[in-house]
Amino acid sequence: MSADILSRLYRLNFPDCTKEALAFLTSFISQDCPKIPGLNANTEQIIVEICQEFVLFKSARGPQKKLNAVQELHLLDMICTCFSEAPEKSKYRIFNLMFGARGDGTVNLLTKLLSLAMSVKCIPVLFCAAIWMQERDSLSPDVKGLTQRLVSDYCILYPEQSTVFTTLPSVSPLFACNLVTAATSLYSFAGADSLPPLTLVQHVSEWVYKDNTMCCESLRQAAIHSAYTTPVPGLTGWCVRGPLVCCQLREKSDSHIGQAQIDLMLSCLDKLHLALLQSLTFTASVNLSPGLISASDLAHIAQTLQVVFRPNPSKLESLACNTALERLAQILQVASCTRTYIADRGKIKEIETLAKLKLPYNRLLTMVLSNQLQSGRPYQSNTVN
Amino acid sequence: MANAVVEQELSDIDWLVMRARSFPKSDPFSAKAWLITAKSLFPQSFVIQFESYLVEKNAKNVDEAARYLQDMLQTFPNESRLWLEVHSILESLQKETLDQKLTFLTDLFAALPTSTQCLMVLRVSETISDVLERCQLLLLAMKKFPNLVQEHGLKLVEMLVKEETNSGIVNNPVNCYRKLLVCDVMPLVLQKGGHLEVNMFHLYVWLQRATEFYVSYVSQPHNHEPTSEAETSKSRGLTGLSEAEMQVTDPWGNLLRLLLLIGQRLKWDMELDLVNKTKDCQIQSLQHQLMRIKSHGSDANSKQILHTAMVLFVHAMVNYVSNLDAESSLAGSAHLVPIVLVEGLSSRSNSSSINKSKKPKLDCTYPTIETSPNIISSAFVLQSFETAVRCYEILNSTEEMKFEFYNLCQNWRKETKTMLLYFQIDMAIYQANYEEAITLLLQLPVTANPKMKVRNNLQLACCYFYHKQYSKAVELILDLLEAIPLTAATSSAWFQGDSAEDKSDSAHSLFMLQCVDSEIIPYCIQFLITGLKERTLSPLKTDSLLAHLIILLQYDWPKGEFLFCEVISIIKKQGSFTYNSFFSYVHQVDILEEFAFLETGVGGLVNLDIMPNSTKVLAQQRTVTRGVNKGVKEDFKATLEKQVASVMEPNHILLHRFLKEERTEILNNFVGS
Repeated sequence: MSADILSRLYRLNFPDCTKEALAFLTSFISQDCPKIPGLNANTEQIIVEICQEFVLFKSARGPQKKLNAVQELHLLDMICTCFSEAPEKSKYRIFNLMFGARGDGTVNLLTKLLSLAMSVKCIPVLFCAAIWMQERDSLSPDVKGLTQRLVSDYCILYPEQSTVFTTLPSVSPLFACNLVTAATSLYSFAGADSLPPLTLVQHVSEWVYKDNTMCCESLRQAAIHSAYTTPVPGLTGWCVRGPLVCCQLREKSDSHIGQAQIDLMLSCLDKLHLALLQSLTFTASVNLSPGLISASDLAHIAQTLQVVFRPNPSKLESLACNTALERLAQILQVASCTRTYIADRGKIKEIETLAKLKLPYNRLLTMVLSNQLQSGRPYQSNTVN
Repeated sequence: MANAVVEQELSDIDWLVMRARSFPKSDPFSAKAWLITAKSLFPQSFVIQFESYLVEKNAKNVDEAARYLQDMLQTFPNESRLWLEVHSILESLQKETLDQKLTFLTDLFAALPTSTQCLMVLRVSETISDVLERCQLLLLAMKKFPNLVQEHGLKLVEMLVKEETNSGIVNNPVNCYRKLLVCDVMPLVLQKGGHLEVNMFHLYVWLQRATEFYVSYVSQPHNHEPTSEAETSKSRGLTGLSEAEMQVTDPWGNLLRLLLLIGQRLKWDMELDLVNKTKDCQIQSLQHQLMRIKSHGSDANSKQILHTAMVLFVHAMVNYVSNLDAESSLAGSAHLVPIVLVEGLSSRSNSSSINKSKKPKLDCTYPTIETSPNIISSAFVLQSFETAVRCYEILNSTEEMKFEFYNLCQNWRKETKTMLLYFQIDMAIYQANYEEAITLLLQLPVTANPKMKVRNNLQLACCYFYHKQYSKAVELILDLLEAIPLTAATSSAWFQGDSAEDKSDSAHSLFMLQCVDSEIIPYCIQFLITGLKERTLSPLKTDSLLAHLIILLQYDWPKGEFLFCEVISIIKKQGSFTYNSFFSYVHQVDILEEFAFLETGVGGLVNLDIMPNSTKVLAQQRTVTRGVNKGVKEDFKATLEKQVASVMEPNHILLHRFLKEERTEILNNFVGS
């Protein structure tokens, strides 16, 4: 019966061919890929072919079929509907079939699909995309490309705060979480060239502040999908380096970013920093914090701070650096106290050495580090004289 | 640099708090971030957590502040600063008007778990040495959080009862502890206490205390004039609450509600949902229920009967008595003059069918009461009286009930007991139990109000009269009339003298008069007429008795015409009549004419000796001469004509003169009776 599915599909035109193809794929995958009678050997191949030919329209044979804009929208809509209706267990397998291949240029279509899914709140598509992002490294070109396009669409080109973006964590917290992780990789906030767009920082600080569990969404999937990264290290990097980078930008005469924007950015970082501490405390109370950030992440952040830090700083720069160190100390302290990372004396020592030798003295950081190194014992408050 | 030095000298904790405080208001995030870090570094530091609490409080974050407060109460239960804060929160709950700050504090309290609220209230209330304040705090907490009633309601009741006893003011039921107990705590416990188990015996005690309180409250003398400084402080010492706090807006409504609530708890046989009905409706339903249960006469309901009757009794009794005596009560009497219940002056005292039995029989044996048309809301007064009588009878129907009733009245204040006495007097008169009425009347405290004096004496006279102590009765009446100033205008009685026509039977009837001269004078005269009239049947009757009767009948002439005719027929029967003061007191033309007629042949040829100079004496002087009587007759006719022609003295002045000049003579009529 299914033997001639291909030839049947070839005879159909868009959108009927896609409709039928999607229905076939869904039912086929949902039945745990039964052998297609008469096509024993290359079942997999046929499935891929159907997907390539009638869903992605990347013809292997013959000329590339080009859909116009309206048709493309129709296609995306059909895909969204397909995910909504497919059985739970099959959703990701269908997604993987469509977008699982690496570097094949489907990111373009995926970006459009996600835009549509975000605006129509098609949760299954966003969820699958989030898992997809998680299974790849956040630094992988596909994920990077996708993130860059979404940020560009929603945070740079979009003139005002997009409600679709604002409400994203409540629609798909996992997607928001992994998007933030990817965004912090893309924009590391290590200098003028890796500055995240202000609107993005505004969105992200609001998300984390409003929902203290958003940062641990990816962690919660770790049991099912072994690979995970969390947004906490990246966001901590923003909060720690941010003040110093902003200060340097402010002092740079040729800066393309205005003073008011810098002020806004800093105030968002204030909020984001608090939101991170609150997230750590809150997730610890529901036992979700372990793994959100590691000692090496923190050591790495200390190192990058040292890179940003310039010798002989101005007075303002000293103050900004102080803030940076204090934030690092605060995250270090709260994360350790909430057992967010496994105590790693070596890494802590590394930070201590770095702080002592390469960075200005900071009372809080000294206090926190000595507290950490006296592990197990309560911190001895230094008495006056 | 100086700052840096100071900073260095601060301990870590103080430094952290100082840093947290150093951020401007525009940056609420950094301060919080610092405090989270500080708390994580020094989890045992109260200062840091309290600072965190203050930050949330200042930012008006109710839930966050409540969470910190909750944590601190668990972790640092002995920090005095924390309890100061708790104290201020609890204080905010007691304020009537709330500003923004106080509203936040009450919201904060509300955001805490009940167990914490409880802990706060209990801990703070333990620190308050003044029991009254402590109770007020607990009460307040229970009002705001009715779920506290379950646990603390009964404790609070106990505390108030104990303190009332300890303070030694139990003998005055209107005290601050009783007020809180009865007006606030009891209704709360009964309504919100849910399944709270209250001992049955205790419920009866509660009801008794409530009844005592309310009856004393409504019967207390109301002098709202500012008292002297010393007195004010003394009364505050007694009450502990301000005068405004001691005010009860609807005492009877409250008492009825308590009765119904307690009744519900005791599963009394009564109408459902009565608590939500109007007061009148409640009273009516309770009355019907009482009569219904009473007629079943089951022992199981004796407590219900006792307490229902008691509440209805005090309600009706106080209503009635406060209408009697306008000045002494606060029940808002509409009457400015006292009201008096007196005998209806029917001639039944010589009838053998007087029902002296105290036992209530059928309704038809109750006397009828005619009320003065000048009494405002007389129907209400009468109804109150009759209800009170019926309840009183129920309360005294068995020895056991009597004993309980006695117990319930034991703690009443003097004023309340006096009220009861007034009621008992009227009831004794109503029941024709004059001997008891006299005993009770003589127990009345001396009153300074002259109108009340008149009132009490009038009743006493009535009782003496019907107890056949006529001279005592008449003496009182004469005293009364003499004391009334001459200026009083004459007026006609609204009631029908019994002399007008014989009442159909000997049914006991009563009058309810207003203590004003215009009602008292006619009554007193009617009283004397009745007395004299009865003496006319005695073989010892004298001509002056008949004359006195005739003179008095002039007062409200021609109302007493019928009686006058009777007197005339007696004179005719006697054939002679001697009364030499006749022309000083008789002016009424009809009467004079009748007398002129009496002498004629047709009139019966009565031998009249009514000239100021006795004809007998004259006759003796003129013994020798025949026909001397002729001159006498002419003298009589001339005097008659002169009397008719002369200007009539006003009735009331004539009467006053007569009563004063002839007092001894009048009293003589009743000697030996």
